[in-house]
Amino acid sequence: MDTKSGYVPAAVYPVRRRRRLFVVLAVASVASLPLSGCGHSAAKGAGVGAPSVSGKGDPSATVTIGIASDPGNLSPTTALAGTAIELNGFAYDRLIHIDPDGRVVPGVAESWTASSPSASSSAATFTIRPGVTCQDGSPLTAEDVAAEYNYIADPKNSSPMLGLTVPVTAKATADVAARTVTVTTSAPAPFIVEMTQLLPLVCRKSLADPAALAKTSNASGPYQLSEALPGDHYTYTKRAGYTWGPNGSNNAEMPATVVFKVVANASTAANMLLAGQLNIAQVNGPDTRRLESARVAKQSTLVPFGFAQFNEATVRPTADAAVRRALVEALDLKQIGSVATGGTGAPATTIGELAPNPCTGDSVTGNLPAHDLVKAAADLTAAGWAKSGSGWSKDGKALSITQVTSSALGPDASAAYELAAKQWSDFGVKVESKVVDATTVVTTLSGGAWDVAWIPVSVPLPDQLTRFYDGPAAPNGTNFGSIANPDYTALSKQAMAVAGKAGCALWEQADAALVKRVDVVPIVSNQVGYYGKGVAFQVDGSGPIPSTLRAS
Amino acid sequence: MAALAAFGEQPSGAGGLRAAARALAGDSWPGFVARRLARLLVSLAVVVTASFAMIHLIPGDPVHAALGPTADPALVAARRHQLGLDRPLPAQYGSFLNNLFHGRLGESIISQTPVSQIVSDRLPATLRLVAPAVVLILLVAVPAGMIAAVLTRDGRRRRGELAFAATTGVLAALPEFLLAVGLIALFAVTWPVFPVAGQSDLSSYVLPVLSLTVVPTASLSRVVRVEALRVLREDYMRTARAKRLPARLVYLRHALPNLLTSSLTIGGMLFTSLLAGTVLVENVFAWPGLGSTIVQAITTKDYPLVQGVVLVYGTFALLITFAVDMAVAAVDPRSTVRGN
Repeated sequence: MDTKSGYVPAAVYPVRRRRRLFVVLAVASVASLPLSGCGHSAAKGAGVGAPSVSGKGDPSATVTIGIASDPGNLSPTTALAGTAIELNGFAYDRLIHIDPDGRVVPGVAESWTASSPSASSSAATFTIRPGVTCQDGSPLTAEDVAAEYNYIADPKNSSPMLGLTVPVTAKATADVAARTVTVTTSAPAPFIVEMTQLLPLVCRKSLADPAALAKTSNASGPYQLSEALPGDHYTYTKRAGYTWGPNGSNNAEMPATVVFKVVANASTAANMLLAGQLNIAQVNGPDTRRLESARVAKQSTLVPFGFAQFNEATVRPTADAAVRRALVEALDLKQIGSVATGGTGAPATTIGELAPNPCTGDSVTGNLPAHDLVKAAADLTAAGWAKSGSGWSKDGKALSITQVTSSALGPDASAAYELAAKQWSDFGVKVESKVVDATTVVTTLSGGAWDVAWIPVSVPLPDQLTRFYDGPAAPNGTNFGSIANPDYTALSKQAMAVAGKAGCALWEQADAALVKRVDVVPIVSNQVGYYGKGVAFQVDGSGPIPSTLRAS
Repeated sequence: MAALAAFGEQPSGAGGLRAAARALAGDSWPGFVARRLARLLVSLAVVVTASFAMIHLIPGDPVHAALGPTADPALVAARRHQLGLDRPLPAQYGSFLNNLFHGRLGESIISQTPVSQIVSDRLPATLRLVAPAVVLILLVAVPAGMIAAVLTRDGRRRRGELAFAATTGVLAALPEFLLAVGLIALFAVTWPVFPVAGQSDLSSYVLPVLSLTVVPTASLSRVVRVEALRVLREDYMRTARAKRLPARLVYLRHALPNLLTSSLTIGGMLFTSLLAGTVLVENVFAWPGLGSTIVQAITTKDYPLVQGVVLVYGTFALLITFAVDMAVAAVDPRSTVRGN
């Protein structure tokens, strides 16, 4: 079983701060797992999909983008903050890009192949586009890419990118003449190609001293950092001769200068947008009304938000599937989801995968038990619980649960989970609430003294979820709910051996198995809205997409 | 001690020590300065220890906040070890003090940037807001309070007194951020005279400085008025008026210096409270200062950053109090601040 890293943008921060990308490094616990049914599989790609945005823009314009917090250290191989990853997207290019439909689009790699030679290994070969250069003039070649892979894969360098963009146990070799990089792993890495969409490419020289890039850049992408004023603004200028964008596009139509301005307050960001001091800002909550009425254009991306998981450790009442089912049937999930997102959310379709994602299917709809108080009572009765007076009890013990909510999800979410507690106590379940924040969420979940956690877990790729819903429980692992779902285990094992998008059907079945057994309860996705004035752009999980930016 | 005693009489042996002790305890300037300095150092030690204890004793883990709740336990353990967070608290306190004495404030856990760099980047921006605000507060509040006192002394102009008390009362009760939002709505969104936010040219200072000054100006002018009313009733003021001195001399030479003691003390406290109170104003105006930094540092339990910023704020607050004590002692010879 491969362990992967993930990040939980939706879990710990209020909406404007939520995009802080929590990057995690995972050390592989590699076990050779015998597999049946799935042998060798391969995925090939080159030139699929079209550049998602093309069009005329003012190439001499300056576009100012508001960011909610200072990015801190900008060194591409060590940066952690979501804003740092957003900024680095402008300065450092990627091997491939993923378009909104989940298709892989060539970037610095003009073509690639991926395969699973055996159940416990993966391989990929990228052909690097000729003529790619770094800011200092040195060429970015297959050798540089291989060196970066090996650098991140070396646990000594403790790069947070390991497991997120580079699979654990990865080894890379370069063939200079053929311009190819071959990456092999001794642990399954089904999305070995897709995960590079977040890998910022750097020239070899920068690997020797990553700290040197903390407040400057040696860009491989369309822009280079020309001024850094921490806490205030970061200015990026367009590079000349850039021709290795998505699908070989150049940066001719992109604005000459992009300024990232730190604006912590959402109301201030909205005011600055209206006054023309900002061109793009992420705004959520009540301020969106003013922007909507001023007809400011909006681009949004959905992130998992309303989500519950149960603690299935044997001592907890929620270890019994009938109790979990009854608890969900007792809730009006539609109402709770609507309160949690202020009425702007969309029903959840994934258990935690973020866009852009190769797997775009729906693993949730129709798999959750419907709101039905009569059936909930019947389920509890069948499981041996009896209602006496106002509460349920079994063997003289009252049905009492502890729910964990995060203050960092914002006031709407807190209200929603109070509503859930109210609906449960009306049904006859005693509810106690525990509030956590970013610094206490893990210790609380690992402590095990909880039954329901309203904490979304979001990652870019489905295989990165396995260590939260399968495998060792805390404190040795991150399967906080001690979930042991045989269908999920089997299906995810099979899916691990299939490279790329071809495995999506299996992943969707695996995810659906978790929902059907009521191990996890995905309710609602929240819109993260970017408003733009005088500018056209598209967004993904890390913010406005550089190649789609057009000033008007 | 010997060096301090040298200010007084020529010390020799036990007599010298006694003289030094007398100098330290008594009404002399060197003794006063030495006592204040010692008090300053003790206060600083308390601030440093308290900030360390508070941030470490609250449950929570900065490494989890930095790496996210999905972090692999092995990585979290490795990072905790790297930061020394797995050691016992007294040992951590020891190395914190050791680093402090060597001028090392450490590196922020979240932003991976040296704390000294963050402070030196952000503090000037905060000071550029606070310094003009304090000057403006004193320049407006003292004359306004004095004029109000002169016009309404001995029960004259009851309506004017009511109007002054009501206006300043309402202004003093306004929350700073509401005022800031209101000012932006009026002068940046409805009539775009000033920029909405951000630090750029002089015009960008107007709204943030104004939202910092209005509330303290209102409350300080109330204090000054009451103080001025007290001074105006003094015998020497009646004498001055009886001598038919021009108003300028009556108020500027005879009344103002007697007001200054309290105004200086309150002004010093204002400066320190404004320094830390810029948090909301900085947030609303997207001002790249230190106030917003500390809030984020505390919520993510970024130990080195919290300790560094608290140390800077504490040092500033204590130094200002120290300077005010010195100034009051110098301006007002009757002041009991120097002891008897």
